[in-house]
Amino acid sequence: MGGQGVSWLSTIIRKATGLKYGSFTGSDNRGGAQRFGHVSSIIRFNTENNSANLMGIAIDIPDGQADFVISLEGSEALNFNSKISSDTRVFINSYLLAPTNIRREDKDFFKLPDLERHYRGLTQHVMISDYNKMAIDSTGAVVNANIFMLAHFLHNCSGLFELFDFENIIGKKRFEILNIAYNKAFV
Amino acid sequence: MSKQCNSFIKECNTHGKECNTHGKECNSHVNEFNNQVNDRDLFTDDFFTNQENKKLILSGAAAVARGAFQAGAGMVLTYPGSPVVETFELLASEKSPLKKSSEIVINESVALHKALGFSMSRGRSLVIMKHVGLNVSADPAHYAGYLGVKGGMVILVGSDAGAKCSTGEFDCRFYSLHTHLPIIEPSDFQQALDYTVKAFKLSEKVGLPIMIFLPSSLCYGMGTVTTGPVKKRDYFQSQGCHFEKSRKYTNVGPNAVKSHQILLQKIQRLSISAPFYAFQNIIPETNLIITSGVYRDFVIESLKILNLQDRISIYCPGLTYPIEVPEFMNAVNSSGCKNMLFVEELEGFLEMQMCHILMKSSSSMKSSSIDLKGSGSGQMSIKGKEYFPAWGALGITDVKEGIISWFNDLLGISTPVLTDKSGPKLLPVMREGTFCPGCPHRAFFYSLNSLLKTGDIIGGDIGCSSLPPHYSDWLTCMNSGTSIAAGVASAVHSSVESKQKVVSLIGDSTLFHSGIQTLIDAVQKDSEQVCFILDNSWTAMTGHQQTNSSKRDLQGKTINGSIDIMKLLKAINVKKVSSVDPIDVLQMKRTVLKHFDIPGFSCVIVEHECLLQNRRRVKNLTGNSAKNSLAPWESTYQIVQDRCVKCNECYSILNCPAIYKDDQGDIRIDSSVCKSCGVCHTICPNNSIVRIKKHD
Repeated sequence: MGGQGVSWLSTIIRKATGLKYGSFTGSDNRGGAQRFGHVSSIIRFNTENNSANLMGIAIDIPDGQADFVISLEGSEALNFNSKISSDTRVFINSYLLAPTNIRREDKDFFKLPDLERHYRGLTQHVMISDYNKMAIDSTGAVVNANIFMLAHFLHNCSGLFELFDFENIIGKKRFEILNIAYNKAFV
Repeated sequence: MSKQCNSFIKECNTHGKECNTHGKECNSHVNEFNNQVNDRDLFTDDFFTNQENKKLILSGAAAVARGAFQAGAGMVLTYPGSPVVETFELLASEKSPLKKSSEIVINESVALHKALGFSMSRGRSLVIMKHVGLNVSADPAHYAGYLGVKGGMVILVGSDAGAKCSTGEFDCRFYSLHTHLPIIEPSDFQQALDYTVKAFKLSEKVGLPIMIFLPSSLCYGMGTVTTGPVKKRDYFQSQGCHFEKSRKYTNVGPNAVKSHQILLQKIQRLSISAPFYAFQNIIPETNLIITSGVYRDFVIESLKILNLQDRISIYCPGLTYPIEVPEFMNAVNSSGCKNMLFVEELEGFLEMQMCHILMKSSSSMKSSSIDLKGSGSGQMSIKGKEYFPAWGALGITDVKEGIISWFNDLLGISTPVLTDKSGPKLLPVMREGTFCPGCPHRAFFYSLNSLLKTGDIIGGDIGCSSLPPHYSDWLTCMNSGTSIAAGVASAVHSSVESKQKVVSLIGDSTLFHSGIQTLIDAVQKDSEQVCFILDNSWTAMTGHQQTNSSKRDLQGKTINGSIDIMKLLKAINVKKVSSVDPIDVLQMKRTVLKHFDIPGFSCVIVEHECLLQNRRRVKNLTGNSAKNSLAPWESTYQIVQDRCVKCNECYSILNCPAIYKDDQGDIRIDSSVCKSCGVCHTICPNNSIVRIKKHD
């Protein structure tokens, strides 16, 4: 959602992708930035190097072809239901925020067990954690939740990226947090 | 690869991507050359690097900015509008050599006029606007072709099919059918850069402004681009910017007709030249898909997924107005196609133009005639909107399914309707737009809504105030609030028994954009409405650009020339006017009630700076020190559960995102989200919301 650092996270993954694999493409939905609206980024790249020319790779992901989905709010991955296949690795933050339209009408919002059941119905590889709590416990700041999600992704990305791919991208302080998250939180 | 390709390698090294014009083989050699160098070393963070063949990671909007920089644009003008805000912000940034010549203009019409004047005087100009901005600048856009330009002029238009960040999804390319301004549509990030450079050259060659049409999906996407040579900064000085007088600029009577004739002749010449290399994959004796822009890759990938890449040709023009007739007809004839499909969003701009060309050219085609309704022996069938809706943006799934349906229809196979048998699924909930925590608009609407009765009417305006869509009774374009309210007020108050109140909203940026005229008219006609001017000091919705009434910048310095809205209203004879801070809820309500009792037209300036900007300034001035106990981010609010009666006033009515219900149904405040505005504390009927320090 807007305000959780989705754009920041996607930017650094893109930088790492560009440096490692030469090129990438993708699109963003930024309509709800800063205002708790839906914000998402799609990143597509070819793992074969020398991929300077990505012509023919759409900025959108075809159905069932997402390799990874990282959802900083627990229900936001529902927007990519059709992109998830049984092989997709899905990282879900257990933090849930009911939108104001739900609150206004005092309706019920999703519950985490229901979401978990739903995601596990789509794919075998579901990782749900309270990244907000991890960030607060380790760093005192919930804004670092996206760094903890990145660390978890690095542990489960089938070698696509390594920790040090991000060393010169995210700044010294944030890399220290990433280091801690990578070496302690998800070992 | 043939010897001929080898001979181009040197050119590729020198010209880089320009060698795309020589064909596919050179594309391959460009890649081979680039890949000899370590990719990692090519990357740079310096957007304004003067070095060629460096790699940048850019959005589509940023790629256009880079193209304008490389082309030596001398003036950059805009009125802020998503999805193309970033283009201007980069060119106006501190490090930009164009910083001093980049301006936010009061509205798109003035911006286009100003750019036209600059380019008529031989300077290269870039105008940036969203698609609805072209509506505002339609008047000067129609004369731009008549007047012509001597320096290159590029108009970047950011479209928004799907209306992700807009109130409408008009296909503004249709304007070119009567403005006759050529349109270029990049298909990827590199083309967004390269085509911008080419657009300036083309503009000077044909003497017309050129439009670059960039959809929001490409504006907001990101990819890698390779830089090209940078034109020297003193380009326009060396060319000698000056204004040459000419009778042709005076478009009255026969002169206007003459200008129109010359314009049409320019377009005719352009349509038979080939300045832009379209993507085409032509396979003889196949069917043909025609598309443009980002959908090129949607089509290519869809055909690969469907294993149809060897059975269907693709033609994707880079210049989509006017259509390059020889190139298009060559694609049609070379493919020998009997069946043609247009893959495009909205109303079918390409389909309309190309059907017209095909009908006119039918004697020169292999097929003996065109059958627009269906296919038959010796006839060509042309489809498009039959398979793709004229509304909304298309995802790759929509493109793939449309192609499947079309191909199955050609083969006479019915497309199965897929039913999902996997059981009930959870579907995403739409997140309605809302105000940031602490936004003064939330406090304003809380007060206003508490005093309006059912049936009272609110005219909405573009900007942050439009975010919760249910707060207004209509929301269309800039300045629609007060303008439509004037008509509604005339209608509802024509009956003496009508007790409906009519209020209208206008933001401070919109006020200057187009609202002043409406206010002048409303006060002179004494329109029966209360107009609330929501002055948060910034054009917040599009990234906090300064308005004409912004008082201080983020470093705390006073902004010279800032317009005092109260004085402005007085100058246009608005005598019934008040000013109030909406965070003071009691005073806000009193002011609203006072103005409800005032007959005729009155204004209320609802004044409170956008909290995000205010916080940024405080941090700049005081530092983000934990020891600074006065810093507002060091406090938050908390609900005392013993006192809370769960009346939902803060949770549902005030509707602040920082306030939530836990699993037990208790209402709580998330201190990481709360911005400590205190409005919830003010409105709580039980005094159960208290202020605490964040470290407590």
